[in-house]
Amino acid sequence: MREKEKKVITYLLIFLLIEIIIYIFIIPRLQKSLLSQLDSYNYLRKSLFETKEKNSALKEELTKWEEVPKEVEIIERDYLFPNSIENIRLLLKRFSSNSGIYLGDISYDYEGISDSIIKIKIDFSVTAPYDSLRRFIGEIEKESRFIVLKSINLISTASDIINAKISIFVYMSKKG
Amino acid sequence: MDRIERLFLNLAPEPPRNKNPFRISLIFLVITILLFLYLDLIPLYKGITSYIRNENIIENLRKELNKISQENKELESKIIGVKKNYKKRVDTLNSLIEEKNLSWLSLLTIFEESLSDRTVLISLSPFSGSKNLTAEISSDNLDELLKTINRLSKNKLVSEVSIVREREKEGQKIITISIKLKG
Repeated sequence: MREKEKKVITYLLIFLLIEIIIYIFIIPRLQKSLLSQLDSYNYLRKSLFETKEKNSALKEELTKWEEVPKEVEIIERDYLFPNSIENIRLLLKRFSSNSGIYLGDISYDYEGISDSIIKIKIDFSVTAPYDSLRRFIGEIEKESRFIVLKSINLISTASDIINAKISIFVYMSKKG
Repeated sequence: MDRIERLFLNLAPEPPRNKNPFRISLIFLVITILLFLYLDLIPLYKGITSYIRNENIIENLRKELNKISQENKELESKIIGVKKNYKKRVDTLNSLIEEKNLSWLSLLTIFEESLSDRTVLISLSPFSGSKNLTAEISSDNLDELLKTINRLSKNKLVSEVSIVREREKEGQKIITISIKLKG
C-alpha cells in the first residue's frame, strides 16, 4: 500500500477505535445513569402520590377543624342547659308530673368539667310503679339537651311499687 | 489461422500493483465504522436526550414535592393551632353525646326479657362513654339467677355477660354482673 492509503486506513482505524470505546464504556454508563434516573423518578412519583394523599387528608381535616368552633358553639348553645338551676329543677318537676312519680330526698353536686361546662349530679329517690318509672326514664331520654341517667339502685319493692335511688347528670353552661 | 499476439505496454511511471488489499480493508473498515456508528449514535442520541428530558421531569417532580411538603407542614401547624384551642372541648362534648346516646329504655327491655320470675334487678349503672354496664340481680334461688344470666347472654343486644361478685343479704342471693353491649 502506498503511504496515502496507509494514512487513510490509519485514520479510519482511529475513528473505529473511538466508536468502540464509546460503545464499550460510554453507552453502558449512560444506560446505568438512565436506570438510576428511572429509580429516582419512580421514588419521587411514589413520594409525590403519598404527599398528595396526605395533603388531601390534611385539607379535609383542617376544613373539619375550621368548622369546629361554629359547631361547638351551636352544641353548647342548644344542648347544654343554661346556667339556671331553677330551670333544671322545673324540668325535673315536669318529668315527674308527666310520668306520675314522686321525687324525694334530692341532693345536688356541682363539678366543673371544662372551662365552659358544669356537671350537676342529682341524686333522688323515687317511689312509683314500674311503668311510671319507665315513663320517667323515657322523659329523660326524649329531652334533647344533655341530661343523662347514671344509675338506678333498687331499695325495696312492695307489690308493684318500686322504691329506688336514681342518679342523673345534667350538663349546664357556665355562661348565664 | 495465424494467432495474433497483442502487446500490452505499461506506460505508467510505476509498475502495476495489486490494489485489492487496500480496497478490501477500506470496504471492511467503512462497513464496520458504519455499523458502529449505527450502534453508537442512535443509543447515544436517544440516551442523552432522554437523560436531559428525565432530569427536567425529575427536577419538576422534586419542586412539586417540596411545594406540597411545605404546604403539608403549614396545614399541620394550622391544625395543631385549631386543635390546641378546641380539642378538649370537642372531646368533652363527644363524651356527653356518647352518654346521651345510651338508651336506658332498651336496657330495661333487655332485663324485662331476661329476668326470670323470682329474680329482681336491684341496680343498674353503665360506665361513661362505653358499652359496658354493671348490674345487680337478686333472687332467693341461685338457679333462677343463673337462668337470668343465661338469658341475658343470649339476648341479641348483649355480646358478653360475666359474673363479678356474689353475696347474700337477708336470705337473698345477690349477683353482680358485668354486661358488654353489642355495637
